[in-house]
Amino acid sequence: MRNGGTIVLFGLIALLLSWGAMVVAPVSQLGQLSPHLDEVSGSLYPLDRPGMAKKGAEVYRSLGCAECHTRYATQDNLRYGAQLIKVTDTNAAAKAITAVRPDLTLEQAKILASSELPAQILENAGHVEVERAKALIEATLTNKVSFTVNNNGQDIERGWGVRQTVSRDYIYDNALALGTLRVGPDLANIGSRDPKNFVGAWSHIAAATNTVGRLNERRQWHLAHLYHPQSKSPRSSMPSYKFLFKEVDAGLHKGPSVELPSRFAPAGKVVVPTVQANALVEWMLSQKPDQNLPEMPVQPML
Amino acid sequence: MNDDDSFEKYYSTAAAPVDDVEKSVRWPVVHSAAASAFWLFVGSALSLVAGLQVVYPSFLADCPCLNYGHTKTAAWNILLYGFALQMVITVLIYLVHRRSQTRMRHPITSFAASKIWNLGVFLGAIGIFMGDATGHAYFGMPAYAYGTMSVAFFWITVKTLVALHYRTEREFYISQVHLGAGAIWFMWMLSTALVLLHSQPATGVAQLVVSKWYAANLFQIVIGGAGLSTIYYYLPQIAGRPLFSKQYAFTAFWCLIFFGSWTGISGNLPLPAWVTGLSSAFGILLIVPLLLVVINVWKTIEGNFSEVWNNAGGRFILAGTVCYTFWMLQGIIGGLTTFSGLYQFTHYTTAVDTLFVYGFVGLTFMGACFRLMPRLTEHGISRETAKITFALVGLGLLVSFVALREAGIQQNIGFEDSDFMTSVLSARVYLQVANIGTLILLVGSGFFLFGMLKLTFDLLAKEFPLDKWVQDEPLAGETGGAQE
Repeated sequence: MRNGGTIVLFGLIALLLSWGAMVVAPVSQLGQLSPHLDEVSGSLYPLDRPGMAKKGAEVYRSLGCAECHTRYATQDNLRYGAQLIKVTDTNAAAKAITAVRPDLTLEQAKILASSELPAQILENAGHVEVERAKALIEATLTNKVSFTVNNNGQDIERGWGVRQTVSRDYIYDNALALGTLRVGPDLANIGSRDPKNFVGAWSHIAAATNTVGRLNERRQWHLAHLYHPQSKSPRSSMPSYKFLFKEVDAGLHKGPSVELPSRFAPAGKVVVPTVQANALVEWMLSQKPDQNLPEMPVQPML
Repeated sequence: MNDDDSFEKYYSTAAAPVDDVEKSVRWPVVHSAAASAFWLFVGSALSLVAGLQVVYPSFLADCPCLNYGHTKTAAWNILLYGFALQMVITVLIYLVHRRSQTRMRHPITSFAASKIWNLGVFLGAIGIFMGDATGHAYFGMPAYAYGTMSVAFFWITVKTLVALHYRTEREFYISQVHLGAGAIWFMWMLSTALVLLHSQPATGVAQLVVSKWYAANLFQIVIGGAGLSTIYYYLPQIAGRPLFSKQYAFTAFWCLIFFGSWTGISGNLPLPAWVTGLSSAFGILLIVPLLLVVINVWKTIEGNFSEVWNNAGGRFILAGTVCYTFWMLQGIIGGLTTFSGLYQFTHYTTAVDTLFVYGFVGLTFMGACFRLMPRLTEHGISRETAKITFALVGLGLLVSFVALREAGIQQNIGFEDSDFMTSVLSARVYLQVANIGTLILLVGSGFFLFGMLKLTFDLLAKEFPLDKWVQDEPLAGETGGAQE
């Protein structure tokens, strides 16, 4: 290698190829993502977070919470299912079902076809399999089949989300702090997880989880957990964030305070959250990427 | 100096005597080496504090500045920017001038750049403790710290290019090419990261792409390249024979910059599948440069192994090469989708980072320092210091790596088989063992710091002898003056 010019030229080509493909292209592709309009409900997702939650994102970044927590749920490859939604010819449907499900006898298939609709025929199958099922059953032209999806994986089974998080979930996040290590649980869906089962099973009931009472219950849980993690989760290895709270003489304070079990509460004092603590909790409660998206559907798919 | 002299001395195409070259780069190189030894010690100490905090959550929890999120971030960023990258600067200045056989002009400016770099690291560390961390892995310091560092590195890059331009042999050495490419690459990367993560932040997870690309290139091209150039320079020198194959070395270089620069964005991430897939595929191709490096080094030292091993610096650099091989293999395997899913989220990643920072970077550049510092300061360093440092760093690294790796594996087994809390707790005993490893590393880096500081002060004492200053001052009531 004698010629400096050749080295510089090829070096620059290598640099620009890598930069163009792995920085410019993904950044411009992801920059074009916009909120998705759900045509059934008419709602937009995602929406920008409210001001307090945005402030909380800064607190999360600033405290280095991402050293222990990630905030993205993962899943295995998407699997599919098929369900009967309309049956007019039970015999034809049952016959088609036995072709799709060789483990069922004709009698069992008939019972399935005449049961309450929608009736699940296939689950956790590949897309070829469910498309074949639909074609076979709908060959009679009057029976109807719809597809369902199965989101599987450790995070889903653990109750950390209903689906994998995707790029679109983060379009309004500036202080990203996604994290790499899980010394603590993932926080992608912390906004819709039930405090009683904080690290355990969680079922997604969107309507029931958003009532004011439930939200306040969660808010209290998180504040107490931040003040003294072991008061809510005895085996937790999270450090206390007492410096986000003020301890005020019980007689002098009239506003809301953190509800703590008596052995964790300071004697004669009440614990009052600072703006940072409240912001952090609001930010956590705004974490719920569980909507149905074209690129990552969730059950039930309409 | 007169014009004639400066022209002849600095713009001549004739090779400068080795002594002159080394004298010209002495101060910036000695300063950078000593400062990086200092940051290695500070980073290791913070790493130990962070390690203790994982096992004992209440340790320093009441101090907002020193909570775990701050100590862990500060420790790794100090190890990366204070130690690893400053070691890159050290060998960059030394090897480029040494190989180009050209004197450094106005070394005071490079010395100032080295000071400014350290100011940047200091600002970054303080910024992290005050809550200004960015939240990006391997790019955790605040923008004002990187801004300060970029000024320093820009000047060092300019000086590198000037030295390469005035090289006395037309033929390039592989170490010059690796270091020159790394310097230009780093300026490009740093400016990209500063714009897309700070001044004009990219949308959402696009920031993840940028920070991961930055980290991969920092590891593979900038730090990795500087480490390889150190290996290519010193191992043949110690073994007493030329590098086995220049072609292998250059092919490995081209493979690294064409393939290595695409890696690092693999794994189960909320990103478009083509990005992670492409990055993962390029990761597998890294086996080619790795094989070339291994064969080249092996063939170079084959038969002269004992000479390399019995040399104070050679032992470090050889062990650093072994760590590089293991680190690259971990990266190649971890880049495969199957395995990245297995080890993502666990302490296994910390184990691999430890192998990189203390194993490859630490051992290789410490070896380089044990070779170049005695030459530059014209003072010897005891073999015992080198031996003890090697034994401590080697042992600490082994204990830390094995314990963290095992902690990661236990965590992963826990993820699959039991509830999450059990998986966290099952790793705890291994994390305690890893803390013993970090403690040994801290003592080892203390020995290294002692060695580097001793050489620096020896040089200072020789160049600016205190007794001379005292003698120069005429004593009160004494006639006459300073001795002429």
